[in-house]
Amino acid sequence: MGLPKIDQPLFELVIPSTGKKVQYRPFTVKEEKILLIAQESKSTDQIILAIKQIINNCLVDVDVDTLATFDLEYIIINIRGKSVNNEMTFNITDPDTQEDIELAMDVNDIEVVFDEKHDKKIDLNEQYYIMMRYPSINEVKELQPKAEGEGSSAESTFAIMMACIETTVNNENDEVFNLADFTQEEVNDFVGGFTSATMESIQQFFETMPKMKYSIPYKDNTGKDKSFTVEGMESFFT
Amino acid sequence: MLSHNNLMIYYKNVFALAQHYKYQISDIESLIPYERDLYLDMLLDFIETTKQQQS
Repeated sequence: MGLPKIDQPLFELVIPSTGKKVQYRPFTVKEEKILLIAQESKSTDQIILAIKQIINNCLVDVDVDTLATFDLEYIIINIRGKSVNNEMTFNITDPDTQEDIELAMDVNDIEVVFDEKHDKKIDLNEQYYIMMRYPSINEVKELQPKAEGEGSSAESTFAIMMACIETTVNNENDEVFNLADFTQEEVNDFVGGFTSATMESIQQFFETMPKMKYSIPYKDNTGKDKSFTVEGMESFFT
Repeated sequence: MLSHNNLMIYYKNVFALAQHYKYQISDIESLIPYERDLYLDMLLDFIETTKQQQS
C-alpha cells in the first residue's frame, strides 16, 4: 500500500498539553457537512463525535483519543481558522440591557489558559510522587455531574480520576512505576493508601485543568465597559 | 459561532452550483470551505457584471 496522497496545504500547530509540534490540513466542504449536521442535532455527544472525526481526518499522525479536551478545542478552532476564515463574528444578548451586540474574535488570539495552581506532579510523601495525565474527552463527560435521576456517578468519577494517575516516581532513585503495568487490585491497594491531602491535590488537578478561554471587551448602549467570555467547546458551537 | 454556515444554506449553495452552473457535487465537496465561498462570490460578481452589460 502506498503512502496517502496529501493534496491539501499543510499547517503546523503546537499541541498545548504536550508542546509537540504537529501538522494538519484544513477540513473540506464534505467534512464541514459533518460539523453542520452535528450542530443541527444540538446534541453534545454528536458535536464531540463530529469534532473527533474532523480532527482525526485532518491531523497528521496523531491519535485523537490520546488528546486532552482542551487540546481538541484548540485544534478544532485552528483547523476552522484555516478552513473558513480567521475571524468569527457572532451576536450576543447583553444580560442587563437585553440589546443584541455583534462581537468578533480572531482565531489566532485564542489561547489555552493554564492555572497557576495547576500541577501534574503530586507529592505522596518525601520519597514518592505521582504524575497525572489529562482525561480524554469521553472521560471528562463521565466526570461531569450527572443530572438528577441518572444515578450516582461517584464510583465512575473516582475510577476515572484514578485512571488518570499515569506513573509513580521514586524521588531517590528515579525509578518509574507505570500504573498501566499493574493489576486493578494492586492499583486499588496503592490508591487506598493515599492521604486526604493527596486526594485534595488530585481533585485540584482536575479543577484547575487548562481550558480554552477568550474574553471580548464591548460597550453596552449606556457606555458601560463589559466583557463577554467564550469558554469550552460547546460555547464555540452555539 | 464556530460555524459560519448552516445545513440549509449548505445544501442550497451546493444545489445552486450543481443545478445552474454544472459543478460536480464531488468537486464542490473536495474544496476547502473558504474556496467555495470565494467561487460563490466570484460567480455572483460575474452574474451581476453580465446583467449590467446586457442592460
